[in-house]
Amino acid sequence: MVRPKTRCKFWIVYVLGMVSLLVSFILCPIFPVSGLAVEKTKLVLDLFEEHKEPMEHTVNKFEQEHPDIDVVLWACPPTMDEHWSKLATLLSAGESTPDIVNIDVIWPPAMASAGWLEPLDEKFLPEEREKYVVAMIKAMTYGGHIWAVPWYMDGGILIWRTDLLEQAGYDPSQPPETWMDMVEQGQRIIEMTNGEVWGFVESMGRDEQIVCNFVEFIYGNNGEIIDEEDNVVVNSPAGVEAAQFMYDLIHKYKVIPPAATGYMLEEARYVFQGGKALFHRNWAYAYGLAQVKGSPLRGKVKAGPLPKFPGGMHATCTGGWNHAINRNSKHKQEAWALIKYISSYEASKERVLMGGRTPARKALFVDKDVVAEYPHYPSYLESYESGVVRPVHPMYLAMGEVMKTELHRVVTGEKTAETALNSMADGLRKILKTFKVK
Amino acid sequence: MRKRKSLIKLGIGISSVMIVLFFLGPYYWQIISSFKPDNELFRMPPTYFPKQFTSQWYRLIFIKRHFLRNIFNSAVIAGFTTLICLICGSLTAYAVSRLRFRFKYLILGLILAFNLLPGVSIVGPLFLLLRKIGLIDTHSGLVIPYISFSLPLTVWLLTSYFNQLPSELEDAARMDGCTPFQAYLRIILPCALPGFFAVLIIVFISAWNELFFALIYTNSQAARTVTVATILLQGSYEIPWGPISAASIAMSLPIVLIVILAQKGIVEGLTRGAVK
Amino acid sequence: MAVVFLYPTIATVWYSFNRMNLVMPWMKGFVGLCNYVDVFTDPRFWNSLRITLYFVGLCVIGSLMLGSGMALFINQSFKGRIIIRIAILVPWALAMCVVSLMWKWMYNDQFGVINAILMQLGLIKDPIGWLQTGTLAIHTAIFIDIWRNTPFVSLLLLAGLQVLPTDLYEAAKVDGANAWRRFISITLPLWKPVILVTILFRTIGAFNWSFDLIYPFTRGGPGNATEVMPLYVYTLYFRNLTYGVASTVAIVMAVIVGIFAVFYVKSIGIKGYV
Repeated sequence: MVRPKTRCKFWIVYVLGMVSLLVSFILCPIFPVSGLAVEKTKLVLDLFEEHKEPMEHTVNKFEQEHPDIDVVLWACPPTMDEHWSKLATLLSAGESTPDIVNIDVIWPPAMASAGWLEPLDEKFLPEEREKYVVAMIKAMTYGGHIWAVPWYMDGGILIWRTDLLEQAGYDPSQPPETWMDMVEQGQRIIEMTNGEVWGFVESMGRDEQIVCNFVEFIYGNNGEIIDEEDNVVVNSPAGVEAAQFMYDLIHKYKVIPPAATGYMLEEARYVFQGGKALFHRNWAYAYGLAQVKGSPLRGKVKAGPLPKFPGGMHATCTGGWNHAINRNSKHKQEAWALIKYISSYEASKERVLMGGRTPARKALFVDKDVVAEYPHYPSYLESYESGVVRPVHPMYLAMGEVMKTELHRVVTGEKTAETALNSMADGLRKILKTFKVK
Repeated sequence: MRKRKSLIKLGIGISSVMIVLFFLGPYYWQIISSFKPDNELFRMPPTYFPKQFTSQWYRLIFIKRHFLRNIFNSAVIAGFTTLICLICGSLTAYAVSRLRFRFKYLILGLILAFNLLPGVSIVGPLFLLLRKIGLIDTHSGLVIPYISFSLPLTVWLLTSYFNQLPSELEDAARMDGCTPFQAYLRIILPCALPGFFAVLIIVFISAWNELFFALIYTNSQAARTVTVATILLQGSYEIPWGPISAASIAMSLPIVLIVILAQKGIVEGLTRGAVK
Repeated sequence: MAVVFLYPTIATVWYSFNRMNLVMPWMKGFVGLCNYVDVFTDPRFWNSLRITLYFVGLCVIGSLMLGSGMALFINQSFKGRIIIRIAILVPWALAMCVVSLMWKWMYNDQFGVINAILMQLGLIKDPIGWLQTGTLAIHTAIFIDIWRNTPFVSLLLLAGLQVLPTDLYEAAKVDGANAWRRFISITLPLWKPVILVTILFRTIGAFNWSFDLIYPFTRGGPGNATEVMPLYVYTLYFRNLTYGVASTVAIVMAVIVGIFAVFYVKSIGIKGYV
């Protein structure tokens, strides 16, 4: 049993020691980042690490023209969810950096409604907006304002193996016109290779991707999710057919590996890249990777628009990333100058030719030099012009959650297409009701 | 008798092999993946030893992505977390274990409460707090949350380890004229060394491998940890398995080193503890 | 530390009594216990709770059995045990996010190593879709969790064994007690406190932090079959953006874990601990 006096001393020493340790640690940051010259305005741009090189090229040129601005590039988390978590935490706390945020095509309404973005109506003028695909501009517009400038655009395309298609006795340069044509061709290749090669592969995991897939099916069948008057019409007969088709692909026509319900995006691509599928639905990057030097599929693949349903359209889900200005940024004018520079025709063209992603400006897809390097780009533009957007609504993330759960239940067979879509419609209506404009 | 002994030896041998296979198998798979070129990575049937050896992934992460800086950051953060946790935690544990005072159970319970809320709910408010102090994107900014996660485990564990040591040891020391603190340093510490090193390993590894908070509280190479750097190797769509395997192996090597050193420390502590 | 801990906790508790939605910042309002009612009447909450309890239960029991077995095994002296001690810590050395992704790709039906090995050994004819059904998915996740966290358990239990004073054993041997007797009367009682702490923290870990495992692995699928509580809370925070309800669930989680803690401590007997 320790004497009280000693015990007291012990605690005093202990607490003092702990406090001093902590205080000294906080006050002396270890290896601080080298300070910038105070006179320069520091602009922070948030982007994916993989795009750093082309963007650094553009940014360096910008800095040369604006010697009083220093641009810092932050690497944002690569996956959509992590990126959103980070931005939500930063922006809801009122952070002034990053000045320019890199946002997904489904985020502008949510971020605008939350008050995190600066409206760009005066800056991003209608004449400029026409130079971009209609679907992209639609996704950036909410509440009568426009909130972001497209950076790069993406959409779903169909990629196929020309050699296998030829082997199956079809024209290797033409994609199937309808989904049932694709099923037929897929089943043929399965027969011919004794099940070694699957007909079709796409990611049907419980993720945003399955919503994108569904959007392509439902709009390809002339259906809609939410119509112009804000009615939820996803469970219309067209929608139910589309969802039923997704189920049938796996269980009735058996052209897609049943484990695709667990595939995230890359796994599906690896199945195709490993030569185990004839058709593949993915974003444009997958085609680029299939044609890269050293890829076993080089020269054996082609890309084209997705099939449609009879009487429908070749719908492709619009994706892509965009630049917006942080409402709390301390340098909004400079930020806009940078965005304008990055999105200019010349700067975008340079980045595309350096190996960057598909551009956002329509004209770049048919630019002579770009086409010389990437001859398939004009066909992309054709697909993207019939792009459709997922519901442009601040609560889209919650809606997406409902949609992906119900869709996943359809493809795994837990619920029938009709039941699931009815639940989905109920869920969407509930969310729409909870949202009340200011 | 001899037959029984050799049977036991055989049993030990087989169990050891199975244990090693079970735990190291996937790690071995990661190692060979980090040396395979792209087209061999997911070929079927898989190759259990790289047909084409390539060091391109390691070159990529170390030269292009400056992975060493991330290792340094992680080392500083994890190191300080462990140090502070061990010092404060062991003193607290010692006090709880040996001293008798009324709020013992309350303190233990309160410390445990640090760990009860899920990380997601803490991230936002804590961000506000750290930003006010100006600690975002610094090492301290991560050390503080990590300490609050690891401290409960440290205190509870060390308390239980200390409790296993009979109090006669201190009585003997006190009779020789030591103050409680000296008794702590010279007698208890060496005997509880295996426990110390176990806690050291756990705390260090937890701080090293943490992802969620590190992702949100760091923005640049200033304080970016290895886990964040590994995640950033992913593209917005792509998952480049070559660089990721290389990065995960590179980031686990310092840990393996620490583990080896700590295990040596444990063994030494055991032999020293035997000589009382 | 208290400050760092107090502010977020109080904030969370406050949020749980409010209605908050990130994209409707003008709709803040104190709603008392409304959020709690919403949470307890939401079938998704109960589904998630049920799954999490099942997950945590199997994980903890599994890693405890395996971990204690290994701790006892390694505690014997035999040649080469240093290698084993280092080998078993390797799964713990890899970050969970990497482990989760790594296993997911190993489990892939088309190009995963696991199916490849099983087919090469002739044990299965067609590749198994490990993530195809809810049951398979959750058990696969439990297996990965046990693989990754058993080192934690065995390390702590082993240290607990090694701190035990050896003279007790010698005395018992002299008295003629055999190995089993020694285990029951000496090892187990003295080991109990360490087992308690280990289980306690393992439970907290599996309950509160299994996000890093489940999210890359199945994102909560198929349907909602692997939606554990941390993932559910994350969804509420960052997808539904209803901070109020999310904070409520967080508080409920904390309370549940707290109940576990009290239960553990009571069952071992706090007297036996301190």
